Amino acid sequence: MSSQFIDLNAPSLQGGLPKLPKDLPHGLIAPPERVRELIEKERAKHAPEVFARHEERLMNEWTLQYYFDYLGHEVLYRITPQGPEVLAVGFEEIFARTNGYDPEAMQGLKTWTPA
Amino acid sequence: MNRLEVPVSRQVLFATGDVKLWVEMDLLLKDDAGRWRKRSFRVDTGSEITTFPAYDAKRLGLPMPRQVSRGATHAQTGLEVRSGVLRFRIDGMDQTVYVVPCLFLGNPDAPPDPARPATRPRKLLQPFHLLDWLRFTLDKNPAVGLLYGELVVEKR
Repeated sequence: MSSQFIDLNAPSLQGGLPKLPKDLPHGLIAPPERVRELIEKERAKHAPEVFARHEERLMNEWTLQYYFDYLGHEVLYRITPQGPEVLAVGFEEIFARTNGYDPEAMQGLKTWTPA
Repeated sequence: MNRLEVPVSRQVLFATGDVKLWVEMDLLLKDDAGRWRKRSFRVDTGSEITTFPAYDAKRLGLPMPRQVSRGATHAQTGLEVRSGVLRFRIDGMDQTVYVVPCLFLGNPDAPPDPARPATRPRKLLQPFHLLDWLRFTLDKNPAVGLLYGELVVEKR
């Protein structure tokens, strides 16, 4: 298996385990300040026009990582300019929401997988 | 389509600020009833064989051996193993169905323990088993304007 780093400073890991899907954020999630800081740091490494094209997606994905990484739950979400809109967390919620991961029911949506 | 360009995914390591990179592909898995189920796999040449959680496979109705493979466990997680195959199409490409060997990991009747995320079985696609039909190329073309590059998948 590919190498895997455990980030003990990950915000998602603070407060102990387990964290169950029902207890995790749902709905529209605004990017936290820490994520905005890291986005600004990353911006400096890339051409402005290239970074601008990917900034929204990066902001959405890193926000999900902030809240969900290392917890073992996939997230079904929609990308928005304000941050990810979380529609379902974990296998069972996604299964129910998408009629068993039916590709048609997942159109326009994305799944985020934790490390 | 005979060609797919998959952007490299990225996450930040909060402890150091480093960016972690990998590639995920969406596969349409064929279940027992001939329906398709969309799941994302990490493309992983370091995984010696494709892996998939046994619990997910059972819930999705994917064909999977009933009997555990005796004498083999998954070293990273200690999970039980079922040796089977995965049938799938690649989302975004043509209708070709591929079949690769797959180890189904864990207990098909119990979801992974949320208190032990390190033992969670992962969806890893070992691409070497597909080289008779597909070519995989890692690239970063400045004209495309991707932040971290891409994996190009082409039919032979």
